[in-house]
Amino acid sequence: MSVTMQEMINFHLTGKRSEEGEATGPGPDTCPALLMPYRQLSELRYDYPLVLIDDPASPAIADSLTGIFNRLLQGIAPEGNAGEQLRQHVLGLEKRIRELVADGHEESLSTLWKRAERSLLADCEEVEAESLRNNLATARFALKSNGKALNCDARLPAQLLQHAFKKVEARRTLQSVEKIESLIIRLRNILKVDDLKNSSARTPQTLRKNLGKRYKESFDFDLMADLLDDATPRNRLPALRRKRIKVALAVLESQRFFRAPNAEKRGPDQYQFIVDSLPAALKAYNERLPQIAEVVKAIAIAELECNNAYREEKHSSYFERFGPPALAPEDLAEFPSYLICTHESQCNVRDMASLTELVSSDLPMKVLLQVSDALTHQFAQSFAAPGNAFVLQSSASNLYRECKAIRKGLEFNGPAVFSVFAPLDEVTSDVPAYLIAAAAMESRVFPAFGYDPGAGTGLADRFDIASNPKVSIDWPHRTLSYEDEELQMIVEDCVFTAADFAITDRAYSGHFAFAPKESWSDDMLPVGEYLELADVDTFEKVPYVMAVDGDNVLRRFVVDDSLIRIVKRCRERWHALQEMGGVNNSYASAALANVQAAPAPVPEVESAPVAKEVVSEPLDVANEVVDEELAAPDSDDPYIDTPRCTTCDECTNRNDRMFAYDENKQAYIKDPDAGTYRQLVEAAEECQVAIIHPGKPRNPDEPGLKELVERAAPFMA
Amino acid sequence: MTARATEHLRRVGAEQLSLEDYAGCAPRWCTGCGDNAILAAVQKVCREEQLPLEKIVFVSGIGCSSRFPHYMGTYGFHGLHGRALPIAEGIKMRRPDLHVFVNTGDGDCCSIGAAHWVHATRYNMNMTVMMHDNNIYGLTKNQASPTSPLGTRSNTTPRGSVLEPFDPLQATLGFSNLSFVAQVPDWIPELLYQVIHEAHKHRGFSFIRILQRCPEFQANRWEPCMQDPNKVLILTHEDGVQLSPTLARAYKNHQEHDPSDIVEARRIVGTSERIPVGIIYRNKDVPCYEDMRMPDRMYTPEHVKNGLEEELDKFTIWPRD
Repeated sequence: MSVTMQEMINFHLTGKRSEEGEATGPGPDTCPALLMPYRQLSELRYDYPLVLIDDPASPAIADSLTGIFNRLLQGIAPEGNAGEQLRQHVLGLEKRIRELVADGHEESLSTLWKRAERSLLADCEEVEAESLRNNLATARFALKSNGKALNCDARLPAQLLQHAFKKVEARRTLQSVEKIESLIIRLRNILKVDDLKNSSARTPQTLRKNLGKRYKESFDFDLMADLLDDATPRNRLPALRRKRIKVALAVLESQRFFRAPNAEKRGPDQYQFIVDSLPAALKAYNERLPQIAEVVKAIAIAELECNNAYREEKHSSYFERFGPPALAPEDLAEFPSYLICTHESQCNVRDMASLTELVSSDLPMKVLLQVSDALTHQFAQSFAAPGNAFVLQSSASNLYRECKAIRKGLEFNGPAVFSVFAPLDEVTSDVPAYLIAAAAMESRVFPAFGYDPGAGTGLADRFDIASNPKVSIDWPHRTLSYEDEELQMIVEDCVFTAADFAITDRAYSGHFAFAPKESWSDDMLPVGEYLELADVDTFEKVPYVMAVDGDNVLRRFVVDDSLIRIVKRCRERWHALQEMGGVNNSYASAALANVQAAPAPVPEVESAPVAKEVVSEPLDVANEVVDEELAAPDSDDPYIDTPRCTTCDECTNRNDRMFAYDENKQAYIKDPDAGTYRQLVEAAEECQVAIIHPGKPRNPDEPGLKELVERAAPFMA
Repeated sequence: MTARATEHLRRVGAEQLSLEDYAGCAPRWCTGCGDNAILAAVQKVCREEQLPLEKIVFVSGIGCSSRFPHYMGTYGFHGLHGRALPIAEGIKMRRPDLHVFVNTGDGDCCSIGAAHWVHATRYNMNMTVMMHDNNIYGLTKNQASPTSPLGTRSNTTPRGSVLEPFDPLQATLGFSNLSFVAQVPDWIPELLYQVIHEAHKHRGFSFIRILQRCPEFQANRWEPCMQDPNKVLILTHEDGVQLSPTLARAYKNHQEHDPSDIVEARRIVGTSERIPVGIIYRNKDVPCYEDMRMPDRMYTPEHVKNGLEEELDKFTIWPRD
């Protein structure tokens, strides 16, 4: 079997394999060479399976099985040999659980534990069974986590997002739930108290019922009813107020937006907020707006009524006009958001236009847009452009590490888009979905990034590409080691490009042609090296990728030019993302170049004294105010230092027409002619804080003036 | 969650309450009594905060000071001697939405009610406690109280009291869980108002010792301090009281004191020759007991009944079949 160089070049340029030659494409069991060491995933301890955290008290969304078992062993297994057997048994159980999940068992951790334990006990030797059972029982007792275990596959993004959405919404709306529950109870109490004032609440039958059976013989309920009839309060609720409370109560009891987790069953079921299409979500949102307005109105009325602050003459006209246009973003933010889980293949042009419009709005919509053809479909960057939507792009393999970002996006007060790549089983090779998803990130086909409008005002704060490996270069360099035919170890430095990723996708198998070892030559270049060549240097060269077949034999596959163009596009998209993330930013580079080129600034030594002069200017304004405050009135007129009055009633008791209290209940001279000069002087003498100044006599004919003037002198200062 | 409209509408519909709205019946304290000044300051605080009348309750024990609830146009509870604080705690526990004020005297608080005072401080429930300290039992016509100065002649100490007076400030600064302590005389209205206002704003047990004049039985007790401002040391701080220019000129002795510094607070109270006035100690981080015991939700009678049934079922002995 041989393929000539010319045939390889022909394939590279045309994408068509020779009919005569034996060149073939990659088979379903072909695996990129760099992924080969990880192919048996269930043998490895890594982020998956995930365990969804059920505990409502925990803000965390999910935990990795590995993390749970690590913490479990830290807690129960002693260090060293003493804990070795326990560690081995528990880790064996973890491996068995991982295998069960990989086989499609989507069950809770506790169920998987039981199933795995049974399986291990069935497989183990009889002599070891007792210790295995005891060790697993010890570990089971210490296990605190539980929840559904999920593998990394095409169903993961929707399941994880839905779980996170329910959890975040439950926590976010808890305050509203409690508020409504509390208002319902308080409104009912108002009505109940009013009902108790009704004469029907004091009939002999009602009284007998309320007192209970034990004392029923001790009382004459007819007589009691007669007596209480006279004591019945007459201040019943006005009919209008009662009706208003009942209407508000009915709205709150029948609302379908909030429901406490353990609430009494009351009214119709809660609305669904998880849908599978954007138009359905928008339709539901618009249809429910009038009901939101009704609930907000009922809450406002209830709060006013419970605080005895409802004023019919001022408030009723407002509530008559209240409707959806009066709803403020703060009101809407209290209501549940919507989660739309959709796939790019289900979105037509209109849906995508709606999505683009959504990210420019402030609607509370959270969209999971799942992508399975990462080489040609990437939208998320454009969703970040309007600037007011939270955007997260990630591969399914990275979702566990993005759990905090997912929670942040779901908590974000506005639209959020989660663009997630998860390969579909039917279109990919036999490589595990986790590896393909991880390969999408490694190869820059589907790089991760986050855009959080709440993180700051500039792109530097908002845009984040740090989740990707080696963000400063085109592709991370990895080491590939293998044995040649003489069993000698060969070590090569490789990069994992979009072409290496494409070999895992059956839809792209036509872009590869097998190159037998006999045909290998120096004109064959790894795709990474090939892309570094100038166009003129690529003539007579063919790019290839290395992959391993089902027999664990390393093979080369020539890549056609159309796929190379796709690879180049991926690299350009990565460059654009790098620039937004502050890596190799052209604006920053240009600014740096300008600064380096500019001459050094000369220090301005003349400006300092000017600043000093300004600072040293005296500030007389405050002193002027103080002097004005302290200026005493004309001492010929009587006055009181009112701010110092201690409200002791001395002067007002003496003459309440001459002395009076102001709005602060502090004394002042209301009418100096409403009494005698003697009263003024005596009031000054009796005032404990000596703040009354009698002034000069106003009536020269008043008897004893000479003596009074002498007594007044100490208070004239 | 509060509907955005509610707060707006509450303001639109709210009536502006005046000082008269907070007034109850006419005070029957003696002319010249310092309690009048305290009453005026408290009414001003209520007016400033526009506290709804139905959301206020004044609780008192027995004594001149304890007539206070009668003179407020709000809810009130004129209790038993020394028992104002437990009653106030009960009210706050059941109705945390109410603004609870306590008026007690030096006899009521420091003698028969002293144990309640210690533990009310420790419980740190959100209320404002004013101890009207006139150094005498006035209502019962002149008996020495725990804070009467050494040598006070009264009906119970005709040859003069022989015990050193009890210092409420030093005592309270030693209690556990302390969160607010202040001292202020009734004859400086500006400071009296500021301190009561700050105490009311503080979330926790705010204890104010008010130096109160009694013109009948302690006529000259505070005369030297009133005549000579140098006998008063005003403690100022951006987180405490601040002096107006007028007051700053009249009272030259003022010093910066950080109310969060408990060591300095104890030093000032224990060693100063002048009367310290202002906020002596404040710790905003002490948790309130009612918050710690607050149920996580309101319970309907059905909830309560089901809970009781569940508890009682634990002790039920079922008949054998």
